[in-house]
Amino acid sequence: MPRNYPLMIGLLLVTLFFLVAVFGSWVAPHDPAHRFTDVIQANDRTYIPSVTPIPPLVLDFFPLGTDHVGRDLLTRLLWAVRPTLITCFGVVLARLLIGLPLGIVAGWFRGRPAGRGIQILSSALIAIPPLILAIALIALSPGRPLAIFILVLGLIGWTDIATFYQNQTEILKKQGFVESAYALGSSTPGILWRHILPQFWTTLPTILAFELSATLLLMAELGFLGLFIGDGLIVYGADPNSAGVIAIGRTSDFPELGQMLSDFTRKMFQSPWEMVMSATTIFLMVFGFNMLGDGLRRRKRVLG
Amino acid sequence: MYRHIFGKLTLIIVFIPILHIVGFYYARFHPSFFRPGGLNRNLAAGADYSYTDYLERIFLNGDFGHVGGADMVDLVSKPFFNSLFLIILAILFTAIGGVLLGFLAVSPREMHIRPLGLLLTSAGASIPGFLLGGVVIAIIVYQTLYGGLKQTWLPMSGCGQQYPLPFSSCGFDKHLILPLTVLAVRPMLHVARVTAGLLESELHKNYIRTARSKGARWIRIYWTHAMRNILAPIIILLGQSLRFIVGGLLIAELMFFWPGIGRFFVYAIVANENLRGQFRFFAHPELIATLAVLMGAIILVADLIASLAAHLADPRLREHL
Repeated sequence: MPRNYPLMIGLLLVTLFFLVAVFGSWVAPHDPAHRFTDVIQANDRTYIPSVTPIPPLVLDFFPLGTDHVGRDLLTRLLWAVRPTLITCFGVVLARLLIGLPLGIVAGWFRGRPAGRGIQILSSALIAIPPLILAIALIALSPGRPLAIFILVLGLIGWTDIATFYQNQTEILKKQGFVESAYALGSSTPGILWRHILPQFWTTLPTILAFELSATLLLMAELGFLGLFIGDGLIVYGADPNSAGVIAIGRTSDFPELGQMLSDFTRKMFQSPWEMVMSATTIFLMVFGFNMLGDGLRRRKRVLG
Repeated sequence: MYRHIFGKLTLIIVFIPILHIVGFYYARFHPSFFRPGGLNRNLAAGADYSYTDYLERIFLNGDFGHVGGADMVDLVSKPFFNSLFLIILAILFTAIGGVLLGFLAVSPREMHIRPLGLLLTSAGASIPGFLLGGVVIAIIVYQTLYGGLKQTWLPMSGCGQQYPLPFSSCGFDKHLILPLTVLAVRPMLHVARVTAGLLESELHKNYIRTARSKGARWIRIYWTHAMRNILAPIIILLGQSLRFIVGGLLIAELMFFWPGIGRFFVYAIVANENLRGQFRFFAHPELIATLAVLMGAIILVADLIASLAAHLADPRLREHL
């Protein structure tokens, strides 16, 4: 085993998912929004994908089976990685843009009104479970566009980044080069921009990797509770007990990993594999980012 | 020390009324109230009153409101204790299992985290809670569909009444296994991962070298020397992981129909397929205010307990106050 195998595993998984995000929609065998309604005979059983979902490994045509309304699961998984990753990157960027300046200010002006204000704000935010705050805010928006997700998850999640860089700034403020910069006549904003900020670029990739994994988990939990990007549509099917139609599930044409976890109670008895596969994909992505962060941290310690 | 406790108590006293007000007005300004033909039944049923009216009813009549004809106190009290019970068990599992696994992950010979330990704790800390529950449910569904068994090997929903617990409507039996898996596995392995990291850095200090050269056994070095120094950060971490447990409560209760307040919370806030005819809970101002207060109280009291325990565990923390 190589010495820094977390970095290897992390890079491997993250590269894989980036490739899927970029090329996944090209190699996908079917249309992600198409509901198959054909009658299919396999292994002495009759399947109609839109009514009785096909389990994985039964047909070569659907390697991972179909989901609860009869769409190919492999296609949807390949398509879903891209929007999920884009959302997570947007959220992490928003968190960074809020958290980094606030952290630097809170660390530099520690004990003064600006620093105290930021500290009170972040300790109040830390006290509330992020999932509860996120569902309370996202549930207010009827259509749930992408911008709302980025805004809400960014606004409630910047505290980790801010706390980390606040501590770093406090350490750096006591260093000699800050004092010399003062002696040479630099202003405070000048020191923060020229001397403090560049020190943070080395730790940034680690922080970003951990933030990405945390955001992905939060997105998965929100999706499980039915809060995914975009408005859903209700799919109707024939009622087995009467002549009418009944609602089969609430879903969305737009494939996204959070959405594929939603509507749990219906999927669990019709197509439990869909839930397990989407959750495993999320798990592999989170694991990859965690490992990448861990490996980067180790690598820096080795390099000193 | 006393100043710290006093500060935390003040925080609780200030935050609880704020949560009540915010919860009430959150529901009153919920957009679905204003959507034409939307879910505004609470408004239509003559619930158009202000927060002061509600306060007056609470303090003059002791009436915390009604949800679909049921009194708020009757509706919420037993679920509250059910949820509290689940949270306490999850925290216990997280603490004991996390610390033990963290200790096991550090090899006493090399004083480093074992590669396998790092891999397993990292993987475990990345598992979404519902993945494990989903896998178990999928196995149970396959087993009942194709295995031809009359009874599933784990109960999938609700809670048992066999060994009743105080104040709650639930009992202590194997109904607990699945909700606890969803709630406690990820925080437990997260705690294990952080414990292993802390222990590893602690084992490279000079006093550990002294203890080793004296010939102390590794178990003694771990438990009596290193443990005392890393106990306070672990307790603070446990206090933080409670936030994730309370968040996971919503998912675990929804998934396994555990009769607790987390499920009410989802019914009250999220208007979609999870409602399943529970529309009387949706955007109900009194219910959301009560739930916000109860959940906030759990978190704030746990925070107080965690910081007290951390100060008892580490004398160095007391000097800074």
